[in-house]
Amino acid sequence: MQLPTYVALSRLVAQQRSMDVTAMNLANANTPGFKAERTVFSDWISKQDGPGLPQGGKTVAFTQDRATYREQQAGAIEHTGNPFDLAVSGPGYFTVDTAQGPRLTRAGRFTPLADGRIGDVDGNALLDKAGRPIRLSGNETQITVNGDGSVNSENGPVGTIGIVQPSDVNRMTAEGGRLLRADTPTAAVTAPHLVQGAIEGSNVQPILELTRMMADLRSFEFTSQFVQSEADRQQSSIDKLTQVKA
Amino acid sequence: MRALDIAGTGMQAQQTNVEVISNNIANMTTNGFKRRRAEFQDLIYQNLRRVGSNSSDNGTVVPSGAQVGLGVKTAAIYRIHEQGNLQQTSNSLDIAIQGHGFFAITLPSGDTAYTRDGAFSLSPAGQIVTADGYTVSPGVTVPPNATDVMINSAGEVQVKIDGTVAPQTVGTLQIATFANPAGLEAQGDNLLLASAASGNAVVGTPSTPGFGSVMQGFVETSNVNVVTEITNLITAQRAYEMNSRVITTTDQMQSTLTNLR
Repeated sequence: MQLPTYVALSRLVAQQRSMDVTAMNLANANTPGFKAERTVFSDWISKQDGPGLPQGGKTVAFTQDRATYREQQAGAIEHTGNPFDLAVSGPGYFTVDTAQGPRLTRAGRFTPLADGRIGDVDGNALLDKAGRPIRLSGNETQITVNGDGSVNSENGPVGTIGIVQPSDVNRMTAEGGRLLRADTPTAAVTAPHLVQGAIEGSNVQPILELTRMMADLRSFEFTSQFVQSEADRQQSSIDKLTQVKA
Repeated sequence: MRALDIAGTGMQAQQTNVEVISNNIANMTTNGFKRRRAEFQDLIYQNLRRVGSNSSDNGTVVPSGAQVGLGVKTAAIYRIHEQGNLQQTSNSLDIAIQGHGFFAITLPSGDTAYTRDGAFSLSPAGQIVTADGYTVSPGVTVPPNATDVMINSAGEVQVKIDGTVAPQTVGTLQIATFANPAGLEAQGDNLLLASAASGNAVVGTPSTPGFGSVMQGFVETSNVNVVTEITNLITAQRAYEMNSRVITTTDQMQSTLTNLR
């Protein structure tokens, strides 16, 4: 008797989750290297048994929010003019050394740290091809980063920035602070392309998100109307069944 | 619902962004001002279905889990140390640095602050001082009977004294560089202080390797680019509006829920 309401409820819960994801995307529309997230819904089939089966069907499908995934297309590359701002054009991630181990990021906002290493906004050191921090001696004034990731100063070569790609990009775990945990083995990208003095913005498309948000809202209202009419139906059946004839 | 809080963090972040942009525009004509940029990062994530968790007894794993982020936060507001425009003033004590380096200023407390603002003047005692009267280190005194002050690109201060033919050197201005100028702490009054992030000051003579050169008769204005700032302002305003739309929509969803029987 309660089942239609519960099916609709599973839809409402999923719709709320979708709204949360849209809100996250819009909130991070200006976060460098941020990738828009999408929800994946799947049906969850429940077999029915016992008396009172609906005619013609033996199963009921609930909505289940199965997963979220990140869209992988590149964000717009924005010119900043800062020599330590790097954008990866094409596939690949920078590796930074955090207290929890190496983490991947597409946000190429780096700055020299006090001890000569190059780090991100949280002070995590940028790693080179061999997984060691890239170090400056402290008296360089002209830093150039070539397209292949090699770093040079007026004193000569400094190192080569390692650009890696995990074997499964969908299995990365976002940890906040623009960092991602690879979860699968990573391999160096053979021909990376870096742009110096520019940074990759987020790939969130605000118009798309707003449209999705409106669609979510309408679908939510539609489903809740269904819940409403279902409640009315139940109410009227109770009224009819309990009517005592005079 | 998380969407309300998430959109709230988005609006807060965009507000910070507008504040930073308005500070840049307000300081458009401040000597030696370096424009700032607000930088955002995503907040922590909530794992509803963890990536890589088992989905069956046979060891199959979830290829991409369900993670919902909780919003955005300001990661940093950093200065962009690009060269500002050089403006000719023909004032003999206006000095601009072209390239790397900062003038070191001795504060009344005895500490040293650093600045790119080279609009200097003379104190009653003849010392070269900033607009606030703080000594430009290492302290160069111009004799009262000097008729002309010349500063060459290496920072050498020479004076012309009536009655003598050859100019007389009275001192040399020194400039300081840092491994990470973006790490200097802003103090207001165009002054910056050394910090753990900037590293220690390396003091040297202008026009030597690694140091910029000085130019007499010029001041370095701000490096604020008005067109960029206005464009950023428009983007920030739109982003703010979109986040507020999320709040409206979430509110509508909640009111639908409340009216359910």
